[in-house]
Amino acid sequence: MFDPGSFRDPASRVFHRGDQIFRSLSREGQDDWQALRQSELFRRWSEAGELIGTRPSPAEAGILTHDKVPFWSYPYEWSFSMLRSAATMHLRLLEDALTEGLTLKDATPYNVQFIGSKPVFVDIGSFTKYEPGEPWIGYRQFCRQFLYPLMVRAHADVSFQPLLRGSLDGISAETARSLLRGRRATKPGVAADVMLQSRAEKTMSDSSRNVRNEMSTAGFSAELILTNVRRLKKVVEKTTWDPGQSTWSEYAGCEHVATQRGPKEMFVKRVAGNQHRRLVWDLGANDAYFSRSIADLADTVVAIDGDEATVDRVFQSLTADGPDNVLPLLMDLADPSPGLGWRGTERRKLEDRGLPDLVLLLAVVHHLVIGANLPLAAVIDWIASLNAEVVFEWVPIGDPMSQRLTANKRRTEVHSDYDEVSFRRYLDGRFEIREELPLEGRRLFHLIPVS
Amino acid sequence: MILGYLDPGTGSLIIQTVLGGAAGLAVLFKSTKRRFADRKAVVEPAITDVPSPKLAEQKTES
Repeated sequence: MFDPGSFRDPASRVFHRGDQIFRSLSREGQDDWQALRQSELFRRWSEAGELIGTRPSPAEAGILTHDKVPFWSYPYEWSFSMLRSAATMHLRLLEDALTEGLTLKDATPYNVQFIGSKPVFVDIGSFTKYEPGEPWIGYRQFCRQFLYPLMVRAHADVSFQPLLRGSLDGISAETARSLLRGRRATKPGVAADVMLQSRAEKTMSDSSRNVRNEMSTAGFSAELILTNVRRLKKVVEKTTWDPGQSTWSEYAGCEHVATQRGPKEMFVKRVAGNQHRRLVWDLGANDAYFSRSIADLADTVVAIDGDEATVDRVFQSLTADGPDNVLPLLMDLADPSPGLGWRGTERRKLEDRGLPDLVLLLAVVHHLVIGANLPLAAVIDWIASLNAEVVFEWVPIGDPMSQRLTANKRRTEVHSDYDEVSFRRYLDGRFEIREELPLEGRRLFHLIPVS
Repeated sequence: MILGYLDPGTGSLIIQTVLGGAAGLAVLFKSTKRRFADRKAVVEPAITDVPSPKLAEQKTES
């Protein structure tokens, strides 16, 4: 079955057979693959684990097999530092490719995946032989999908994730120009990559000139692309974002968190260690404390949180100190990533990227039911649909953290069935309670799905 | 030429010459000069090929 996100490049398409990932190549695609395979770049990047593991199929000509990405993610779920590290990697890769007579057909962060906290380039089909005289075809896309998102966060403190989720094509030069006017226009790269490009796009929008041919005839060369790429590396390096303190970045310092962490960690580790875990979702992971503590019991842990400052710090700390199998992602659980793009399947919704065998839902339920006003039954229904074991922390309405969420709500504005009796009733028939542990008014549950 | 599937954007292609440093500006200059030369080459024969009405009139009179 062809991957629903792989259809734009006629020279190369990804398909799945059972659990295995393959790529079929056209005749041109095969030539490009041979050129890549013989390059020093391929050997070096593969050895460093920065290029997805790729081998020619022994049985079929024109077919490659790829290593599997443990959990797929998209740039609208990445924090600032994650997108920045993917951008830097893309520029390094293009630089290396050009010095070996190769180039990349496109420049999109969707070609990068994170294995744990490490960015890996996955689109082998993007490599092609560089034809002398060709300009950088992906420059505009690089700006829209890497550079402008970084710039609007770094210089205008605007979140790029909703903009990328709103348009898979990225942020247009015109939108970036509107967000980066005035003093922001003096920041590195803004005048050239945003203002000038926006003006050029506008002026040339009706042009039918074959600029590619004109530039080629006038002597455009790989050296010019390299100059631009090296300049952009510096521009990207100079985009920095200091999130400061957010409500959630200081959460670990709260008194109730500090006192409950010990027994909670023992419970979580005991459940996680019952059997080998392939994929764990830690939902509402905050500083990923529990993700880290069970990382050695699982192949991959996806630590999802809705606060970018927190996710960014987790990413930086994982990059520096590991563990290397925890993937931090930014997502509002009350509004998780849907299917996007062509026919809503080009970018898959969260649940369509591989279901977990264990879910941690620690101190999350009150945010979903009281904070986001999702009905408790609907939340339990969603968790049951994942068909996974669950470690669930019940937070009663009288809990100080629940009280904070109800402070500006009338009693009638909170779902009336937010109580432990209803909670247990909704579990009935969906989950078996294997173990429970009272925890200073709260309660931990180990839930096993009833199949 | 690469058979690209991605729209590189005409404006974005042109500014790459500006962003390519001195060598890029040389390419821009060369390409602009060639465009003007080509335009001139197209426009000039058009003027010489069509006889002006005045010349035509003079011819019939003589």
